[in-house]
Amino acid sequence: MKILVCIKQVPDMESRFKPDGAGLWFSEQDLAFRVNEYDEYAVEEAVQLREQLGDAVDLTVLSIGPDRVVEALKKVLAMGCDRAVHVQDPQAALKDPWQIAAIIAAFARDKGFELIFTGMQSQDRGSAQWASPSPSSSASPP
Amino acid sequence: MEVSREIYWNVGHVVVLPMYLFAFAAIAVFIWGFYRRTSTYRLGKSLNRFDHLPQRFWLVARNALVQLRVLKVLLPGSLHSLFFWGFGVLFIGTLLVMAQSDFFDLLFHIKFLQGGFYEFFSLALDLAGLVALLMLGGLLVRRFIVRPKGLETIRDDYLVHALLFAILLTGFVIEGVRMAVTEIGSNPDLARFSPVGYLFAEAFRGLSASQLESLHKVLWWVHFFLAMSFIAAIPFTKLRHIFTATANYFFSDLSPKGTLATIDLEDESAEQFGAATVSDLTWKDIFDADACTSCKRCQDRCPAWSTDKPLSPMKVVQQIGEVAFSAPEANLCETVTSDVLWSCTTCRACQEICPVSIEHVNKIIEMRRNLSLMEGAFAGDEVRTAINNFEVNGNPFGLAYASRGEWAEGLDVQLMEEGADVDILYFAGCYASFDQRNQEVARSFVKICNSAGVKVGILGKEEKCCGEPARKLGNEYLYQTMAQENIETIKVYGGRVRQIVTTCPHCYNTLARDYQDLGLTIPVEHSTTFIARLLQEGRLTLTPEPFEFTYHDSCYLGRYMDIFDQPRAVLAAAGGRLSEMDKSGPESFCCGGGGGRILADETLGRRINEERVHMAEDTSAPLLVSNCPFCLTMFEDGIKTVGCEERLRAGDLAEIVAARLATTSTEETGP
Repeated sequence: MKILVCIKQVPDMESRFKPDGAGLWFSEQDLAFRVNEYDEYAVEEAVQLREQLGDAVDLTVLSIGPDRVVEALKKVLAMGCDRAVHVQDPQAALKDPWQIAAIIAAFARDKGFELIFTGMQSQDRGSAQWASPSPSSSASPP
Repeated sequence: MEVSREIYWNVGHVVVLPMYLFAFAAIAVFIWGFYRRTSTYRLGKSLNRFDHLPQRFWLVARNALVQLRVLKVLLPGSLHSLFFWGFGVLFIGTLLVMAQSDFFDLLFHIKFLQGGFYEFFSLALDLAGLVALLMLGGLLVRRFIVRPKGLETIRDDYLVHALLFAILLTGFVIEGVRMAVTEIGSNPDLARFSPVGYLFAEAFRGLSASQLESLHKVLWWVHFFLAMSFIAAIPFTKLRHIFTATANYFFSDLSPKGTLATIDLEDESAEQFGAATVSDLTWKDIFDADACTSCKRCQDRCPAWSTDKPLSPMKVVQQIGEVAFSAPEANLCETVTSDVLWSCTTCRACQEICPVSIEHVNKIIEMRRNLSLMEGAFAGDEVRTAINNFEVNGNPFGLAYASRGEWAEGLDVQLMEEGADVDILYFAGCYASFDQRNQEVARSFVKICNSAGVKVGILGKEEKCCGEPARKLGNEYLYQTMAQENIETIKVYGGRVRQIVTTCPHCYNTLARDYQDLGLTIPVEHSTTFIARLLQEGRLTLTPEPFEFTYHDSCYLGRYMDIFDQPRAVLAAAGGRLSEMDKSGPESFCCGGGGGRILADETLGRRINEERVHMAEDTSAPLLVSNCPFCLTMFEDGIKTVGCEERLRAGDLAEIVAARLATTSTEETGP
């Protein structure tokens, strides 16, 4: 059974936030990054499921973002995931949930995942869109 | 009159052949008894303890022959050592008899046990026997009548006491019986050189010569078989420590105190990190269990055991032995239990006092490594949070890493990244950087440096936790990650950093010793010795102001680094009058914060810091001085929970000194 877990790397909320030069997002200077807390729950849930089902489960974790997200992927590999996929995208922070969902869909479409875990929302942007089990999201993204 | 005695008197030379046959049999049992244990030692991983041979033999001479480690605890130590020397002299005496009668006299007709030497020999053996007998009596009183708390008596103890008493007593009776026939009447001058034998001879005077001779024959064989039983029993009873303890001195860890094996985390073939079973430990860890004599000196000094926690270093060592010899496949951490393993503060009191040089702390850390790296276990949820905080922000508090250097605002301190030339790099550490109370210590240290004209640089937000608490909690991966980042940062400024100074003994140990394995070679010093040297060189002058205090030796400055005198000298130079606590110097009692415990809630037993605060209170000094951020934190906390704020304050050495700088007016820098 192939399982996909989608995680996001977000700034530590203890950090001091300043707007970036363009005024579109926060400046990354002096920020510490970590795995989005809700996504950690998703990983934990997937790992627990694997513990129940045994070795038949193959657990892939995916993250979209710049080089630094590799650290978040390492962390969840240590938590018990089997393989990690990094979709290199320095502009990920500026993409809306629809675009992010489209990237994930493009990756996952032909991989035969039977189950996808995600966190409820991200701690930095908090859109809670593409993974939310609301009726409107039942239509699959392109 | 001949000044000697007839060897094999009464029993005759016919005994020689059966005697040697039985002796060889006893020695064969002895060798077999030890040999069958070696396969268990071999379960452990390899470790070279055969380097530096002269130093190793020197350790054996000091500790086995001269008994220096045994004598560290004076009363029971003296009983043991005097017994050992007494019994040793008797053993050597027996060998001399053997050498003369069955070798030199037999083959070359050389006799040396005569004349003045025989008189000396006779007197020395008599007194040695007496001393051994008295000491054995003392040990018997201690074990069976006084019964010190924690001293466990097992079958071996009854057996060994009975055997040794019987050997010594039959020896004197045989001597007395022989003297009653051969010396008392006919050679009284010689009898004077056997005063104890003389007393026994007097007791048997009433018997006829033939009665004495039959008694002598029987007792001679009884004594002989007792002695052979003793030899044969060595590998099978506690007596084995005669050889395993001696070997343990030889196999001592010669690396700097506190050295931990730096795991190669890049090793792709490694399937196990830390110790899950005995085979993940080294052979020396298993051998240690065989050297243990259950003297419980470690247990008596263990801060965890003293506060009703389940950890006894002695029992951990013995459990490793039990598992190795009975169920080598068993999960070691489950046998020892994680409550026991997480209770250790790595204070090293156990290892420092152990009379047979057992290494307790690293065994516990190896098992913690298994818990942490293989099982993902934590000492508690609060520790899980702290470890997460280290990963994200490089400090246990979870505070923004970018604010790490803010404690230094307004002080004459250079940020290394700004390119200034500095005399020292002050590695402040997490507590001095973020903890309000300990920021006072960092500021005090900078003021001291400023006053001495020492230019201080800091890494500020580039600094991360040194990794010590994580490492001691078994998380070698996190330790090495942070350590490597720190080392890379420091190396960037390599040319400008001639010396690193820390105010934290944990940072000090880690940077000075552990970082060497990862490539840091810059000299590292603790602020205490640095200040002591500034004073000595006259670069720093103080205006002494009298104060009463008691000094707490932190584990990592004291026992780990043997820094005991300099802090006391500095505090005396500041005008302090010291009242020592009950436990000080190498016997100091941990604050409870070491081994990563500073990050964990103390949920088992009583609180270690309160115990230490009570000891400080007992001195009636109003000030408890330490020089470790963990100690200061634990004491500030303990003073509040004990509720003795009115009578006792806690302060750091740097604060005391900073408040007495000759060049600046006394500021509100603390006590």
